Amino acid sequence: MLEASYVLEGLWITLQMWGGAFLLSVVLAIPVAMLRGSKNPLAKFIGALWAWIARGIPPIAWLIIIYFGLSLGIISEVPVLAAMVGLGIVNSAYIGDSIRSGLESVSNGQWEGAASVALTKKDALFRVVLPQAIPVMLASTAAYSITLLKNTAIASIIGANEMVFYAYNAVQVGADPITAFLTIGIVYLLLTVPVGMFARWLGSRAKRGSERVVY
Amino acid sequence: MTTTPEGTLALSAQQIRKSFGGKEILHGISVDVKKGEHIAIIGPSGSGKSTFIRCLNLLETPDHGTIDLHGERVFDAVEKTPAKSVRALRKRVGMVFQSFNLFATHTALENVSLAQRLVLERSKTDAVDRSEELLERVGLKKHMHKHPSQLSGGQQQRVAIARSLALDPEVILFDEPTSAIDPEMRVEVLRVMKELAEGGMTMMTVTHEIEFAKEAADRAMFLADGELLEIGPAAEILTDPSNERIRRFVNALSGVI
Ligand SMILES: Nc1ncnc2c1ncn2[C@@H]1O[C@H](COP(=O)(O)OP(=O)(O)OP(=O)(O)O)[C@@H](O)[C@H]1O
Ligand SMILES: [Mg+2]
Repeated sequence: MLEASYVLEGLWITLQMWGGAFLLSVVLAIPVAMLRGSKNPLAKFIGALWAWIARGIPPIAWLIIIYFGLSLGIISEVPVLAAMVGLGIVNSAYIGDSIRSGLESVSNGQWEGAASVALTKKDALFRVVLPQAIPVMLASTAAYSITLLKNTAIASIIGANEMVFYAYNAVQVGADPITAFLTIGIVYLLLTVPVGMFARWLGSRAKRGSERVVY
Repeated sequence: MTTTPEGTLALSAQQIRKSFGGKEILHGISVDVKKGEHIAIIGPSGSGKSTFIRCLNLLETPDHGTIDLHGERVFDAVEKTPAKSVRALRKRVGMVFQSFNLFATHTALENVSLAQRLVLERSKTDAVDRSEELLERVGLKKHMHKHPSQLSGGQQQRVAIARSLALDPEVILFDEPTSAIDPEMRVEVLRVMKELAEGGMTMMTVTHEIEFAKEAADRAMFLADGELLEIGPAAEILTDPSNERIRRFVNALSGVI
């Protein structure tokens, strides 16, 4: 029998890894998107190389490499931290794509309109382009976030005590596997519901925020 | 370079050359625009009209040539122009696009106010006051809280003109301002432009509206294959062109064979 308290404990660890990996991936994705969007061929190459390696190596391999293969101090000693870093790296390539395609979805005319009234590049980006790009970015980011959530299950391999870890342990000591994994499956499923709502809410907030800048 | 006394020249562009991917599109075009003058730019598709006026506010950087505003050198292709100077020039030379390019997430009022706040650093009340005044002038005050998507093409273009006017530019460039607008909606835009021209604004307008150019422009310049073929009084060039090529072009546009 998979006890509710274990599910909750596992859920808490799952949420930590999900949130941590997500934040890290956004922090990494901004320079990755800038590098890939750069006109400098070397910068472009470095950005593309990062995305290729981050995405090309399976998440499970990343986690094992970080946890067992590298000595990154505390990161390589605590499974939850190792999972956050590994999944954060993988997800950064996807979020980087989402930032780039969001920016590319805004027509060049918007940049030119801003330039024609003497706005700086920075003002054009923050006041004109991003308010239009962010809702587009969030739509794809929400989809990647759900993949990221499910990938946190891999962290059980390196001993992170998240939901799959507890479910597996319960099965080892005699719990019914179908019931145990169906239970946590439903928890994963429920977690994805607010993601879509959150993305929509952020999208409308981003839009209003940009208008409040002037008024 | 020019015989006109210096103080009266609003804009002087000399020997503007521009290449894209190794192919030269503009082969050294020069024009002197007097203060308060309205110059119509005409010519066949691909002749470089857009490229030329985009060079004048540095949306394209000329490969060769100079630009002076009221006798002051603001661009010289032999030197790198710092971003700050580019912005200073754009503050003085406005641009109205064929596709309007209004800020999609901003209302009409915000479109007109944004640069006043960020570039002129005007207070919110001053910017709003000025924007309302400009929107009134283009006949759109009652639509000022609408977003571009809620406005017709003709209305959007008038907001774009107000947006450009908000920086009190010395010159405004228009690139086919009515080409993307339904014919019946064009008159309002043309009326606003005519009023501007009559009010003494210095303007350069790329247009295929020959009647409008005859009426509202002082001079017309004809571009063909990246060269300035002819420049002279608009009424003269557009009514009875002596140049055969211009004659054929104007006749074709006016539906005369
Ligand atoms: N950014 C660019 N990159 C490459 N070629 C360009 C670019 N902009 C313009 N050209 C080319 O330069 C030439 C002149 O284009 P331009 O848009 O200035 O012509 P135009 O006279 O404005 O034509 P139209 O009446 O169709 O607007 C064309 O052959 C065009 O393909
Ligand atoms: Mg053109």
